[in-house]
Amino acid sequence: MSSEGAIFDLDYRRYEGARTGRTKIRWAIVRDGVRKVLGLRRKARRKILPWGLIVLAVIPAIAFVGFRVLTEGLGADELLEDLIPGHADYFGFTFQLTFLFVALSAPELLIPDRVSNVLTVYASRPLTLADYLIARVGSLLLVVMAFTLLPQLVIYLGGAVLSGDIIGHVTGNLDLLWKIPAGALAVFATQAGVAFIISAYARRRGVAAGVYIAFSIISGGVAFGLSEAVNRWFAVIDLQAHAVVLIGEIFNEPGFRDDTSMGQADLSPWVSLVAVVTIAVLAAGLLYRRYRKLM
Amino acid sequence: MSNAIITTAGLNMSFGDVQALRDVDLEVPAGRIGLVGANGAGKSTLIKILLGMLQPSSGVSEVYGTSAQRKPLTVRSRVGYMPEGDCFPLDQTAADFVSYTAELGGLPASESRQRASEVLTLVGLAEERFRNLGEFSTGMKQRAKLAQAIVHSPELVLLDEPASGLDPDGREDMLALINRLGEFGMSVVFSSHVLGDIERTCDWVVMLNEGRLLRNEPLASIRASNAIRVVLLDDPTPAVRVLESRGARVAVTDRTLDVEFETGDPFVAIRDVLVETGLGLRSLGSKQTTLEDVYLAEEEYGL
Repeated sequence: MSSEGAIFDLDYRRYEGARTGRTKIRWAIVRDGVRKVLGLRRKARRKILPWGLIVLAVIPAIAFVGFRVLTEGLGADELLEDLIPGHADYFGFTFQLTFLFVALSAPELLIPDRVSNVLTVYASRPLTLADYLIARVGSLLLVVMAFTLLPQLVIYLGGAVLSGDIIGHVTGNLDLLWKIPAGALAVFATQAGVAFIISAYARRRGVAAGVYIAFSIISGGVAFGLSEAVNRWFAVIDLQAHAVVLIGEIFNEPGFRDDTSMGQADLSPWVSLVAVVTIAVLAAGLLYRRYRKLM
Repeated sequence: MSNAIITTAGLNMSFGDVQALRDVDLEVPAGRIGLVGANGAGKSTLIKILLGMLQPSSGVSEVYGTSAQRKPLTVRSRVGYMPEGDCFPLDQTAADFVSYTAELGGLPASESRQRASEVLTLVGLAEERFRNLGEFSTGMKQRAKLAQAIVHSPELVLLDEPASGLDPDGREDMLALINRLGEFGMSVVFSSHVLGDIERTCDWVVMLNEGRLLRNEPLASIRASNAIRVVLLDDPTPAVRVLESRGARVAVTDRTLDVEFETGDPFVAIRDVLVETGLGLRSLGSKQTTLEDVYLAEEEYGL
């Protein structure tokens, strides 16, 4: 071993390699957004709420499936046959959790960047405002899809295992492969637009989440009241109802609609679809307009 | 100028009734460029126009021959920017954030992490790079801002008041870092209202006042002066009278004379006058013109 040491001053090294394009840059923003929402590479307390909600969404599915697998062949199969909820029913169960998840996530994606002036850094890099906004919306879409799909996957795989014929279960339920993501997309499309718009103006994450939750609850109540007392078309302002109606339609469960203000007002599911698309387009326009002044 | 990296022509920018830039025509070569002016002179506005972050009311601006208005993304891929204010997510570590900004600058993810580490070491944040940015002091934040501005290997870095809010030691360190950027092959535009900082770091000066361009030339030519500073021990009145009778322009402050001759050797002329008047001499030498002198003179007479 040499007894002589050497000190190397690495200094500044220019990067001479190839540069990535805007697609990779967008993906970097999406990845950053996912980390923000899930509290990854952040302090432990930032993980509590998102992961707590994820656990709450997944644990019942695991419990139902686990219990059925463990009790399989113990003589109570007929009695427990319907223990595992259907995919549509489980959407109904996770719906409120997803609502809370979106209420917490959308502010996390937009407010710190704006309030801490990180937008200046984005504005100085080779990306457009649309790149930034699309990537931020993409982050939420990815996380919400994962949030809603994870328990559905548990139920799907549980059903496959319990059927004793995994391939037969998969081929016999091919429609679920589009219905489950479509249901998750319906939930996202209904909730994300308004959550993003509120987050684009609020300065505090807690306030934005609170305003979104209050808005959703109040709009539901107002929709019920006004659609009965004044005009049935007021039911359209019940945002949460649209997701329930669309999930019911996707899974051929028309009964879902009956308990909503849309059902009470006897409005077609097509109205819900148009309302959701309209909200999404309006939200995208408003978001872009708001951020054009900032970036 | 054939080697200009920044060019503007007829640049005007107004925010409502406020005219931030007025007919700015610039040609700036590579190197360390000082952007000087009081607060509100239009420095930050000019920088943002050069990045394509602001659209000028009229006129054009080019960076490396590319229009900042028509192709801002091309310009930004070659330029780094350190904003004046904070620009950090407070709950992220310096390493994570700088690495992320490298990716935003077009570096692959695998390379970004390594470079973030190197650049944070370069700016003196090696030990602190895994601390949250929200826990950083002002000086550390300024260094981290510089790190994010250079991490993606830009050819030109635009630094908006990089030394503001720093204590004397922090200021020294920041100026030393800015000086080093030139050694790494980067051109630097360094905006400041502290003229001394510009004098110590830059070789070219762009001077703005109330949106107007006052000077755009090498620092050396700004500092060059024909004046001779004479400090006398006695009442200078007799010497002033004789100097003026011989065609000199003399500015008097107490017992200090700034003397300028159109022709001839001024030192010889002053020696003769001192012999003739019998006045005692404390010191004699070329007058050092500072940016402050030029700025104040331009402010007073230039507009």
